[in-house]
Amino acid sequence: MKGNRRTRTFIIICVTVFLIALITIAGSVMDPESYAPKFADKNLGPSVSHFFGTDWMGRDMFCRTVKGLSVSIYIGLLASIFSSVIGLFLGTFAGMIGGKAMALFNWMVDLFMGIPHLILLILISILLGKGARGVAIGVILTHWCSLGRIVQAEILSLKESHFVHASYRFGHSVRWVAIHHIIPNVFPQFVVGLVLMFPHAIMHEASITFLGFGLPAEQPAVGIILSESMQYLTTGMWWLAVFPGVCLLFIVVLFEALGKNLRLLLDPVNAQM
Amino acid sequence: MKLNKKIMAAVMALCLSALSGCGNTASNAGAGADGSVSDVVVFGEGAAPAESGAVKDTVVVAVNSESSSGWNPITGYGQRFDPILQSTLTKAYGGEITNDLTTDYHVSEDGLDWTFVIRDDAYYSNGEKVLASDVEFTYEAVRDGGTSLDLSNIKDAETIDDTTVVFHLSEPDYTFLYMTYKVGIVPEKYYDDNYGENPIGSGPFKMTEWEKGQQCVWEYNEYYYGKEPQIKKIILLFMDDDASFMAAQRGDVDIIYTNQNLATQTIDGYSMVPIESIDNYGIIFPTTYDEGKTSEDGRPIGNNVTGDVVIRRALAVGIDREALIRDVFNGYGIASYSMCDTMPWFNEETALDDSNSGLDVAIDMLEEGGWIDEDGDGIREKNGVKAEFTLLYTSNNANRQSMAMALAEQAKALGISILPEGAANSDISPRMFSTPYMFGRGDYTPNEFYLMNSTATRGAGWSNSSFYSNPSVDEYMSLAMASDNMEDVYKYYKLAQWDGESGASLIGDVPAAWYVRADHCYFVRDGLNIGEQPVQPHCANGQVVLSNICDWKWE
Repeated sequence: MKGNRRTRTFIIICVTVFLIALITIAGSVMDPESYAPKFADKNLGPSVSHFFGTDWMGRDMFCRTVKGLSVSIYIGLLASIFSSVIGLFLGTFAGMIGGKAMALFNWMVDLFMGIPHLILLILISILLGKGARGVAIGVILTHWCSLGRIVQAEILSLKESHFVHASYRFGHSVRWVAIHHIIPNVFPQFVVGLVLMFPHAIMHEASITFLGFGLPAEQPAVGIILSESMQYLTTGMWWLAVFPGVCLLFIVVLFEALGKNLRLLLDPVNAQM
Repeated sequence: MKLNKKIMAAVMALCLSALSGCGNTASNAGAGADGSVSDVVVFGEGAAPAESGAVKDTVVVAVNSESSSGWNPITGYGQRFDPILQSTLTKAYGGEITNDLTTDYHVSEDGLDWTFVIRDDAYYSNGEKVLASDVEFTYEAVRDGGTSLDLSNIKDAETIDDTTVVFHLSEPDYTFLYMTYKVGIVPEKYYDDNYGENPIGSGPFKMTEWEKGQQCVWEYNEYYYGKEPQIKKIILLFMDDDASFMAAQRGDVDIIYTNQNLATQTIDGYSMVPIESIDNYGIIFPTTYDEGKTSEDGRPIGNNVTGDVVIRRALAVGIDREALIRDVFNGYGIASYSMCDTMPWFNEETALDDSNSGLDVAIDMLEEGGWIDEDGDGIREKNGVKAEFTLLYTSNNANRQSMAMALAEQAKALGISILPEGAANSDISPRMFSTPYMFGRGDYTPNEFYLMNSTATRGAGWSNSSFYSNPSVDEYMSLAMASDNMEDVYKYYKLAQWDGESGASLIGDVPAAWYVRADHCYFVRDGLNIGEQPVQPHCANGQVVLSNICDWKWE
């Protein structure tokens, strides 16, 4: 491949963003008729007219999968943004204030990380009446911890740097220093953390939907597709599970690639560690 | 790389939970399937027919689950299908009451005192005699217990002698007879809180082993008074549909209960035996308008779309039932027009035919009723209300889901927009008085019709969640109860469905629209004859197939 590593990285980022945007947009503008039940076409294997085959209600699995992925991406986007903002805010707060605030922050992180994600997610989702809202809030509330901790650790080291000390000597307040010196410096980690949170959010959304605590069954979501397909594997309808499963994995890998390459660009020092 | 590991773990968790949790039966734990199957192989070998011409007398039956409360009639076992471990006063296969433990019964002039004479030769599996006092004890215990079977009309039961018991009712009720096939008799002397785990009964079989969630072993009760079955031992396995299908493919079981989807498959050495049922699938409609009322526990009542009988009627007659049977049930079903088709109290006038059903008939109804699509969006309106409603279905029930989807598709042609929404039963319940939902129901008793349509049962849980109330229907049903013979009971229940002007049926007020009676599908090993099966009632777990076990034989 031509060009230096930086160019290559940049190209990979562009391609992954393009693919993700394509799936999201395709899913959003899709006519619901294209994945509506058409009983005349039920139980068909993969073919030219139905790439991923059809299910027992004659729904086109390709359209359903794309729609489901775009729903997942939306929920993932929403959840990662909110979750990482929470992480950034709490991490900065704890890092800058120190003392009791830090203790409280550590205690909260331990609390959230001490409970298995999936169980906490299920509890929150049920509490909020399931559905997209329950899942999104559940994911938001459970995923901020690791990023928060990274941010906090970064801030602890930044706090000792000369320019921060200098800034304090000039008489700036803690808030001023945080906004002008600290946050811009942790921003790269924040962005990378945000992108890398995506695959988690998507997988968790799919998992709890699969288990029946997430999105409602009529919604085209990958978790729903996979859990429904389990009932039909015995009859040999492998395509119901394989294609959507592979697609979900593909999206996760895309985000993973995006996150890693972003890190190479934005945060080259840490990325090499 | 930590992240990758986490993702892997999530994928694994997904796969694992898929293996264990895909069925819709609660009691079949993941480990159950494997464990029990390996046991079966052992049993199967022991009872193999190949052994020097000896008649095979063991049958291995796979059903979805045991009764959640154990094998205790007082906590519900056998109230929805025939108990095999206990015997009942009567049987009601196909809706006709016949004697079982009873040899004779009569009712007093005022309809309040029911006298039952029971057999002198009935013994429990421990050799003790079945006494009239046991009947008294059992009925009073069921009455005072918390099951869905409502025996509150029994003021008290009185033992006259060892074989005679009298029930004193609070209100005259000739349909009381239809309660007597639902209660398996337990011995008072041996009844305690653990009875459900160690049942002693006078049915054709006794339980010798029970591994919860996995399997039961039932053996012939030598003291049974009835016909001696050729089958002397039943191994009852609890498996979800996929596990039992695979067990049959391996040849480990003799008969499995399965769904209409797997029924389309073939298994070497087995035949598909679909059994006609009155397991009706349909929509339960709220029949009142939303006037802001709520039930005592705060559940909203009424729906402005289905509150209009025109909408309900159009949906009852304008749906192509044959298409539903083909698309949803793969052909394993029969069109249904009530919840009591084929029963002696079914009013055949209310069945639909080409003259009073079809798309055109339904569209005419809607137009006459004032539902017109004025804004051209394909959905009709009337007085500013759009003909659109949410249809809830139990989300882990594939049949109800597909049917809700199929109904939504068909209703588009009527200009009615149905929005299917999956939910757990516990989430349907708070919305059941204001939102239509998919339901399955049907039993051998006219009491079912009473529960669904009486003013007195409005808002009583799953019974009359429609808040349906029609004084003439109430009147006919009370006349039926006040009858002094079965013919009159049937007559009045038929009038309650349709008296020429109104009634709780598809051509009347349509509190519920019934569409399909789904066949109960069983794969049966070649050579096993499961006798003449009666039309089966609604039964979620498949155990109902055992009701005629005494007629089963290996050929």
